[in-house]
Amino acid sequence: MIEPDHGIEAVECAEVIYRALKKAWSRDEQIAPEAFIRRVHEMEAEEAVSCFRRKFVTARECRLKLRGMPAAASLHVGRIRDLPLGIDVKPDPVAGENSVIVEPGHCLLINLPDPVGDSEAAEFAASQLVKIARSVSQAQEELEHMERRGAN
Amino acid sequence: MSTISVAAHAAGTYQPSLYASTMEVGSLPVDLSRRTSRLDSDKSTEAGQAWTSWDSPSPPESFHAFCTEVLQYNKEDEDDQIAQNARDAALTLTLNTYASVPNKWRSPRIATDGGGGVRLTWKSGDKEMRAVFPASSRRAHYLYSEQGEGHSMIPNFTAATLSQKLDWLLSK
Repeated sequence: MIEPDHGIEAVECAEVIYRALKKAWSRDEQIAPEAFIRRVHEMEAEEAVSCFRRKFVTARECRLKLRGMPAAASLHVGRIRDLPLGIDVKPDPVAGENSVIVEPGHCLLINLPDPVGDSEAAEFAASQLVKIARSVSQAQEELEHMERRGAN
Repeated sequence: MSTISVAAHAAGTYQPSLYASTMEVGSLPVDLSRRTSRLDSDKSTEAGQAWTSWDSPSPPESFHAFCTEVLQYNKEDEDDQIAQNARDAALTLTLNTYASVPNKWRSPRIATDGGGGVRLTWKSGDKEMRAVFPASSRRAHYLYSEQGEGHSMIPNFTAATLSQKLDWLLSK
């Protein structure tokens, strides 16, 4: 049973977050900048980029939550905040029925530049995030999952 | 069935629906097909293999493989689709680039922007270049390039600009 207030607390600099990667975003274990650009629908960009906090979710769980993405990238929150771009991570737990939090690990990469209004800034910010992101290998993913969730 | 032709479209005029999504490899224009050795060489961008190869000149079939990958991209993942508008714009511009400087062509990494747009990325050393073709025709396509901390962006770029930027990318 998940505690109702889990996931609301601020994301600490020592935390690690995971970003699920599509097939085209993770070839040869190279992370594509597209992973850190706000998605655009017609002329409007989404507000933020979805991620998951490692304190709640393993890399495997992160990628499987989003229709079985093939890979995940990890980022240290402190290193994100160290970038001189104002990018931050804020908790965004997902509530289900009766406002009970069912997905405490969900969080958002915020203050990313708007790719519609300032494409150049959005591309540059994505480049900076790629530099500090690490692709989670299959072996690392299995080890982490085994340690935290057990063989099953 | 629709086909594409270097000669017919070298002027860079945009023609909607020029490229049929059902287009097969064998239906690509004869002038491109003649530059192609075999179909099994057209897999250089699949998972597990390098998506760019800058150490040696890219063979002419690289462009053919690129066209094939763009045309067949939507078969890979139903949740990650390229819009027809973006696909046509990307293929028209790259075709004109290839037609003008075929020996400088290098196949980019192909991805979507998550909203139907096409993103082409070339990388060489510390240089990187991204050609972005949004799904919405109301947004301009653009060419972003960076080297180290320096970066620039050219909106509404042409094939000539992409050719020059490929030169820049390949230069030491």
